[in-house]
Amino acid sequence: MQHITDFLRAHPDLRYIFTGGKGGVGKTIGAAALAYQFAQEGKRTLLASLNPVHSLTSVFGQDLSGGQIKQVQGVPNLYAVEVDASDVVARYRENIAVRVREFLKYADIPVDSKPFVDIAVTNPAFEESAMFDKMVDIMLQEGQQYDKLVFDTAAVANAIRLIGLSKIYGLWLQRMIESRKEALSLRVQLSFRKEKIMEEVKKDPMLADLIGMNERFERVKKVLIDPEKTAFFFVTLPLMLPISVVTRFIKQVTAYDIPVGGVVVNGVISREEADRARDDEYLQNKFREQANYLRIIQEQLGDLVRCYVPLYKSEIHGLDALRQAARDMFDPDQEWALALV
Amino acid sequence: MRLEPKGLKQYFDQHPEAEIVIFAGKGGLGKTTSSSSLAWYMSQVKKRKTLLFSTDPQASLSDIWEQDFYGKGEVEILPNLFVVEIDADRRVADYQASVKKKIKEMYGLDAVPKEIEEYIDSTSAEPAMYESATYDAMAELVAAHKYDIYIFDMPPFGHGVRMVAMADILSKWVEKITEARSKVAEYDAIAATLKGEKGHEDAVMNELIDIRNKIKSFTDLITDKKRTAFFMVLIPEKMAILDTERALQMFGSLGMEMSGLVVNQVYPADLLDKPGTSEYLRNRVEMQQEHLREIARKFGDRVKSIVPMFTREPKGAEMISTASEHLMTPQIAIEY
Repeated sequence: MQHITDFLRAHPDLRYIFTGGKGGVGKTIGAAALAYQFAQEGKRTLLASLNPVHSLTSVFGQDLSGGQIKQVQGVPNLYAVEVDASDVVARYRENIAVRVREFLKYADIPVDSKPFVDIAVTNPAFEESAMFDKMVDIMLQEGQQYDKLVFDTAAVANAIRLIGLSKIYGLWLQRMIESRKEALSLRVQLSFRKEKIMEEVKKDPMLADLIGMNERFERVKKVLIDPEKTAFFFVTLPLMLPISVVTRFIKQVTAYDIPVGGVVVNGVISREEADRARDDEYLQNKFREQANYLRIIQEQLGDLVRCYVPLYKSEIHGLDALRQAARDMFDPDQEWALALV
Repeated sequence: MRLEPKGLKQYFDQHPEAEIVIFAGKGGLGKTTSSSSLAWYMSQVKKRKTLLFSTDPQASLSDIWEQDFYGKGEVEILPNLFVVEIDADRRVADYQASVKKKIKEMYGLDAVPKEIEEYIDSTSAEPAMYESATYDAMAELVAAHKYDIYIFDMPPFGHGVRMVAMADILSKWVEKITEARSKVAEYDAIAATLKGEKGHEDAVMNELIDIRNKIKSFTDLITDKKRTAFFMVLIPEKMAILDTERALQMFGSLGMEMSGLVVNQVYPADLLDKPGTSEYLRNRVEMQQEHLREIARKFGDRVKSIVPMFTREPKGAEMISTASEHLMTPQIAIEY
């Protein structure tokens, strides 16, 4: 297997790192350990959590809340932020409302926009999309001051949608610009100057918004599909459901040319651990079941597995525990786990 | 204070007319085990003709019953117990193909424009697509009226209440378009008569009305509190508790009612007293106890059942029948 250390060595210009996977598999730990490692190597690193419920504060054992970028105490070069969604969501809701209203007007559909806005925001993916927007902000703005950006987020579906949408947007934008130009023609006929026309067109708030969005999309898309700059790492447990989620995600992102960095297998019980807890029927059964799932991972994801991380006795709180996780993750000797497959 | 749920048996004794049971909640919380357990009870104990339905990718029902049903239609696995596991991926693909076909027909194109085609393809990543493919399949099955009771293991996206919201919107939308279109259709018909043509059917319109009717009849059924029961499955973890709160709010805002909550994967508290318990497990049990108290405080009597974590994954008919007993008549109480 190509271990994660080898992968990172082969991709020195990697700048945007995402961790994905089913809820509860340890995405945050994966992201935190990666960010910690980059910082240790002297790279100025930003770790951003974009989850509806943040856990960076508890993982690092220090207050990282409040939506501001903070320097992580005890880890030089590492900065972290728990992005606050509430303002994004409110603003996003307003934006959607404006866009829907404008669109209905543009399409000449005489209907109340409120229900459309309501349906858009009851979408379970709505908050996710708002967060994704925020992530794009970070990528294009604050992120410029860092060597590495690690995102702990559910970005897969959104990334794919963005790529699909950006095509539609471009198309729609062209049409909008044309129609705005036509609408302006009277005034413009009086002004007689070509460059003046475009200026006028761009003054239109709706168009400015669209043009801005389109540019953002294009820029992000370019980065997202660049295997030198971007990698999606997927975290799984030796259990069926997380494995199937990861398998599906990988299929999806690959179809959209989004580069897959590899798979982190988390929560593996070592033989040593199992031997120590002979009388623990739960753990013994888990250990037995795990062998089968490790084999499935090997069969389905084999070449993409980058490392195995052991099951810890308790949740990761504080730097000591995180250091241990990073050590395990970046330990090139994976024999303890490979022997179980 | 003490919370002592009475189990799903009591619920169904009190709601004999229930014919649709929907288990909602995220994946990985034991939804499939719960729906399988209830299906066991209804088919084997109550002897009712039962359909158990799941859309989970990777065939988790197949996993639990140790047989492969994925994409194979309705399979009878025990007397009175039929299982169907739809291949949502395939349905989404079929749906996309049909959308493209319709676009070509409606607009008289030889091919769907490239950008549009790519966009339609990209929507397969959208959870809502799975949702709607699932609702379609559910609606079809219920409409066929072949079973006494239908048990649905919902896909792990959203909370399955969006179809209710969507039906509202769609109805309004169709009404508006109908208004506008019928005007156009009048002119068309007049023009056609003048030209000596026959009036042609409005494909877009029929399509919309058809979708609306399908959604509406299914929505009417699942919002009928007598005939439909919604259960949400959760586990004693922070995320699950938050999700459940959100789902309850959403139900409230749509004027719907959650029939109850099932708490799954609860480690027996007495593991803390056993010397052989590993430190890993000890920590899990302590964490769970804390979350269980929070569940009791937050949800109280909404909790209808508490099901233990079994020593091994519940698989096969024998394990399911054990899990079923716990779901119908729980043995666990919470002191808080």
